[in-house]
Amino acid sequence: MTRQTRRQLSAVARHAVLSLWLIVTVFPIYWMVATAFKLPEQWLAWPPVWFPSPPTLENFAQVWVGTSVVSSGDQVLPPISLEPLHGLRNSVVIAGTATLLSVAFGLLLAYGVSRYQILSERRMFNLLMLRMMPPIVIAIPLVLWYSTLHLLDTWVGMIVVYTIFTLPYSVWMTKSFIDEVPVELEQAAQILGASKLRAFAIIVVPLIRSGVVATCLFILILTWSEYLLGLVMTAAEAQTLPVQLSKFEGTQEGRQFGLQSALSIGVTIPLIVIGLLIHKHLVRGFSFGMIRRR
Amino acid sequence: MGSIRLVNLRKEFAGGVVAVENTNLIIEEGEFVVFVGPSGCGKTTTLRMIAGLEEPTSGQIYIGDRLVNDLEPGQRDIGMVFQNLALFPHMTVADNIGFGPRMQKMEPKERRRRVADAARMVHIEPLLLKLPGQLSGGEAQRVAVARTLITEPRVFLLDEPLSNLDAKLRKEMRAEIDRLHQNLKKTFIYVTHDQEEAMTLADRIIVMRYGRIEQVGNPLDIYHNPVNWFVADFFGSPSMNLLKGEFRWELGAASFRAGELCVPLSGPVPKREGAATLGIRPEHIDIHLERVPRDGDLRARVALVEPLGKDTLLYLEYGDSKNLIAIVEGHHYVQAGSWVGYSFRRDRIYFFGPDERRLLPEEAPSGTP
Repeated sequence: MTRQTRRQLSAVARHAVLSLWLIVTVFPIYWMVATAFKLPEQWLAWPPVWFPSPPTLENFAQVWVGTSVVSSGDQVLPPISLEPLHGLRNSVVIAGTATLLSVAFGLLLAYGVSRYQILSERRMFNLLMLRMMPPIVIAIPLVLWYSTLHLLDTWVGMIVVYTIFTLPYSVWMTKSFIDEVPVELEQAAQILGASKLRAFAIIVVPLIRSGVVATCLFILILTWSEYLLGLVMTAAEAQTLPVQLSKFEGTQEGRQFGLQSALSIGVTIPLIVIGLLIHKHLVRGFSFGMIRRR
Repeated sequence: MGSIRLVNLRKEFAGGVVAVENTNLIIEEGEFVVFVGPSGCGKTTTLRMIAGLEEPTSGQIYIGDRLVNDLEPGQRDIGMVFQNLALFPHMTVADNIGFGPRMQKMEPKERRRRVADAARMVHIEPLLLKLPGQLSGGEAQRVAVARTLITEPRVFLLDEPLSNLDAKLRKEMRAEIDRLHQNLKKTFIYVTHDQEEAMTLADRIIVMRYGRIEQVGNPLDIYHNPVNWFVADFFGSPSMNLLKGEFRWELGAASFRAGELCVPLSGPVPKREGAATLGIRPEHIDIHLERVPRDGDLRARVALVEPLGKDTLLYLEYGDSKNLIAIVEGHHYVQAGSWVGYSFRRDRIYFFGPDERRLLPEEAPSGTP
């Protein structure tokens, strides 16, 4: 086998693996979108309906415009009125605020750790341990506390929980970015007359901007798609979209795949839009440290 | 006033590592002082304490008449060039240079004028709109100097600023820093581990080791009158030949024996017996190429010849795989493996005791025979 043939074969193999990976990744998204445009009889049809024909907007209309009425499982329960726009607003406020708070606190804590070693490596690891236990373990005592504090099913309650739960990630991620900024840059700024806080604000923060944006998106994805704590700690007022999504799981009419997909698209689109808007920062943020800085 | 006074300055890091041990030093205004020593000797820590980037464990630092221990770095009226230059990568050259005036809340118009002046001084006017990442090593160096110049500090601190440059550029920048000092007539404190840099730049050299000052003096004094084995070994390239051996006194005549090598000593000699180290610089070994040995010559086989162009280094075997390095002029043609006669210039031989301190001929310690 010549060297050129070997190279060609390796390229073919590489593309084959990547194509397969692409299919595995993209197919569920395609199926979600396709299902959202299908009529109820096509949702579970066999052989599968690959392309919605004719495509319908009925599912979107029912979920987003009208008030779809679903009820839960075999038990006879009063119908739950689903208000996705209310859920969307809750998600935006809770996930958005928790993300900003988590990254802001994380950044300050990470700066202290990186520059002043306010936490030992062991403590930093302990911080990460917070994320290693199943959330439900925390959820039960939290519900008890929250009911006493009247924080159940409130924005504030959910924002606090999400901020605390994502803080370890914020600290670890932003610390890795701050570590990359030579401390001499801040010291040079201080010698030239800047205070420590000013040096942090005008030297460090702009340099790690891309990393901070990448961290924000990561935390936003975590909080936006969080389900378990949302399910346990909200009822109607502060219910987020992922919790609302689950309402279609066991209705009297069976599982409402089309409606669920139509709502799922609404859950997914904001993240995709944000991702596209900040993709330049993302590339730079996730490759931070690979570029030598003078 | 740009004089500096260090009084009993000490720095101990967490874990009990003492970086600087009780240091007392006065640096006069306008002086160019170079701190030199191997890695970990405390030179950079001393500089950083003067800058205010490191807090002394004890002792006082005065800049002019002002005690500056409790002042922030920005309040000490100093400028500093860092080893990695520390240019702000997200700011243009102009913004980098104008950073100090910006912190002083200077009017933008005045700030621009000062930036232009500073850029002109170090010949970087065409670079003002570039980012640091687009500069060559030498250009970045000049920007760092201009950024320091613009605030007109009383004291310039330079922490191994040339260590990232190639040899040629290093020499050029060295000359520029020297010129800058001559023009500005400000106090310069320069840290380096390169003895050649120290010799060429300094009015006064401060040699440090293990957090202590070993010797303070002008470059030639340090080179010709080292106080101990360490300083003698550190300065000079190639460094001083140091032969461990012992003094012998026989019938009132002194000699120094190092293995198989026996150097007869005449003239003033430290009057002592026992273990010592003989030091001789490569340029103070005379090589004689005549076929007939001169009276009193030592003989050695040339193990290695290293022609450097202007000079040639000869490695002379004097014992089991031990070599002396001698410098001869480049036009000498000596082959490896040949035998040569050599002698040490009597007035250029140094002796060091077992405690590394230099033994002077006048010295007559206990145990004098």
